Amino acid sequence: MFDKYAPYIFWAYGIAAVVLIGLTIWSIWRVGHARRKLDAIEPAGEKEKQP
Amino acid sequence: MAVMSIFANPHRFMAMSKWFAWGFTALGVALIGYGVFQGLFVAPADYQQGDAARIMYIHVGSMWLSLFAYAFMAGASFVSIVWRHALADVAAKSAAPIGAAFTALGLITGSIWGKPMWGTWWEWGDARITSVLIMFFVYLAYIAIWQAMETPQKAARAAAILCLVGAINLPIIHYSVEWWNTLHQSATFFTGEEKATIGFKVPMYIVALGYLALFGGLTLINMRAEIMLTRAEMLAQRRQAAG
Repeated sequence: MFDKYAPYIFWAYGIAAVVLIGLTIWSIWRVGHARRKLDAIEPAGEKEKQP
Repeated sequence: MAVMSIFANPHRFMAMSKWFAWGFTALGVALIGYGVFQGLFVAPADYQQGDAARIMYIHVGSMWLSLFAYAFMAGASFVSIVWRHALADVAAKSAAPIGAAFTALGLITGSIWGKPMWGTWWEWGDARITSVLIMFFVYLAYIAIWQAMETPQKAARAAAILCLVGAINLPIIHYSVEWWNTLHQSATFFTGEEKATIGFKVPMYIVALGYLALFGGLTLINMRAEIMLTRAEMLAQRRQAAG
């Protein structure tokens, strides 16, 4: 499959997968971290106002 | 301006952005997955480059997205400086790491594609490659400014100015293949000429749309995180002041 170019194609697509999956996981972790930090500090009454 | 003022309120933004953030992210993942499948297994091999041309489906879209992300940041920086829009800085700051990641991806995949086609991983004399590398460094400098300044207000101002100055590089990147004799080929898509058949265009545009949706989703997710962290910081300071 992909002839003599197979290693180049696999490396390019593999790195793309790592970068895009890493970026998505980092963003999800970051918003979760921010939510936990805010929940820990925000007064209970204020929380109800937050979406 | 009416749309801008609707989103100027962070509380309203948080209420409206949640489903868009996750919806765009899911759409982006689905489109990229389908486009990559098309690019690897359905699209024909190029008559000159053979299967190596399949790298373009992830490379070209990431370069388009890196330019779009920078233009988005420059627009947000302009709005921040002129109108002091509450969310403009948050939008630009949130888009920066995503734009930088897509630029790095474009440089790396371009380098991998260049080796079998040009016989080299990198060519410093090539105007397109070098101007994109400069944009990558501007992305890094923009991110560094947010970490380095004493206050968020100062950081926002300095970062916005840097971003606008760096935007001079956008037309240079775009026209570099026309202005200089480069190793990098000239534009194939959106040229008005029929340089690629539908078999190449379909996976290319699907992946590019997927990148765009993913960028939108992840930027919104990071904007939400940024707003929550700012609020947590503000509450912590208020609590500290109250003793």
